[in-house]
Amino acid sequence: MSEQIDQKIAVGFGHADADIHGNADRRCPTVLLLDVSGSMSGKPLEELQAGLTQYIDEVAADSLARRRLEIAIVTFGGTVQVAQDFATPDRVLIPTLSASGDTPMGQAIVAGLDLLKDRRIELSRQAVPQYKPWVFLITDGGPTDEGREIWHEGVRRLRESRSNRVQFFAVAVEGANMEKLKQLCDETRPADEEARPPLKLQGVRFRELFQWITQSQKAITQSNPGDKVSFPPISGWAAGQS
Amino acid sequence: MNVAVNPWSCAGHSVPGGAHIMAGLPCQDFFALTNVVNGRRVVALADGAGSAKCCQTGARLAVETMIRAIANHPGNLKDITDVASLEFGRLVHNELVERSKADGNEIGDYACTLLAAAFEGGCSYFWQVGDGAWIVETTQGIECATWPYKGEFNNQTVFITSDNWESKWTPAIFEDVVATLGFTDGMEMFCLDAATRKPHLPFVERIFSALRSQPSESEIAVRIEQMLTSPVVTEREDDDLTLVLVWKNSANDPG
Repeated sequence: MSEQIDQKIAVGFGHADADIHGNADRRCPTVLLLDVSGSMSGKPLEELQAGLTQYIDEVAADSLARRRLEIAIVTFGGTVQVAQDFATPDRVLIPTLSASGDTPMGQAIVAGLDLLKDRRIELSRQAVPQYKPWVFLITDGGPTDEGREIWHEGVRRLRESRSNRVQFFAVAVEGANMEKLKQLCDETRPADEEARPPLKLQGVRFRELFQWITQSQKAITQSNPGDKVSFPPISGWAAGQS
Repeated sequence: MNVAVNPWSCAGHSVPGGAHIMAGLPCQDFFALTNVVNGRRVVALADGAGSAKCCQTGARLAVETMIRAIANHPGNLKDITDVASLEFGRLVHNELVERSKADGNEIGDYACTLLAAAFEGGCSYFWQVGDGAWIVETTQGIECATWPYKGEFNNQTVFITSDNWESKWTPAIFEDVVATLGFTDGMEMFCLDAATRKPHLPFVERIFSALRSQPSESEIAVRIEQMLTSPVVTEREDDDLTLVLVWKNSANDPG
């Protein structure tokens, strides 16, 4: 063959980057619901911030996770804020967390699932293939909006989302109302899904928790049709796990 | 004697994906190309499901059984009915059932997708169950002959071993095909435009244009391998990759 071949971008049939771009890669939407209520102030918040930063940095550095994850961050402490709407890791602006106020968990669940619903509609509209979405709830308390309509709506919406195969994980930080979280996990679990009770974080091992999320999501974003994905052990961050 | 030397040329290549190499797994795709027999050329490819323990055997057996069924089918390709076409899939499914029984396994242990194509005269026939796709270039332009079947989420599809494979069996018949591109799901993001459900033309046209100069099969096989192992592809996809091309020889020399 006499043609000059640029080994970087044009081998075989001479494809250039321009011939490839514009095609959407498959996506795994991920929602982080982070408790930043007053009780998180001090060491827990510092470690949550460090863990979150490390997570975003690591998935942004992974060539597949960078293109296939879409992360949204909702914080709840006094008020509920969308700190980051869905974005691929390289475009996420890591929020600076500050702790204050009570724990409007129901409202945060509704806000997170609203974002997820809109994003999934948009991805479907663009015919972008999707992995099962992930929703993480990380809290050191219990819902202070329990008993209000918004809490019931949160529970109802979470049940509905999980029956549509949204993967839900609840992580309890020291001081969390485990009973309430367990109830939330049980009440929203689809009948055909194995129980996934809340996991208790060892101390403030947020970095190890986010490391686990990173590893699990790398495994997910490398998976292909028919693959069963196994996650790394949670013993590095969850209490009572061997 | 006025005998067509070889009406259809074909070439293909498979490479293990980056994720499989990292995990020490072999390539779980399999493909085969037959010689032209009685004017008919048959190709088939299969993608073994990573979660199925005998998927490599499944992919190989599915391809071999499918090719045999099509190659041995009497009569003209264009006269194959939907019923006969479904029978090809049934032969493959049953072969895998038998194999799983003989090995003391479940049929699901042999899970794989299946894509096949046959070419005879002016007729081109395509079959598929699962993901991956066939793209054809006819005198009318470039279009998808089949489209990947996906579940709601990315890591879901249907396999020839699935209970519901018959309902996802997709045959397609075309006339005046000059070139065909078939691939397993790893190449979907390059070859297809999911939003419009059409071929991703900038990528596909470049491949088809290389076939117009009547290249040799070995030259195209090398080019396919170069493409599948090039950074533009491997940096974006770490699944196993298989791509086959079939093209019509426009000027058959009289013997």
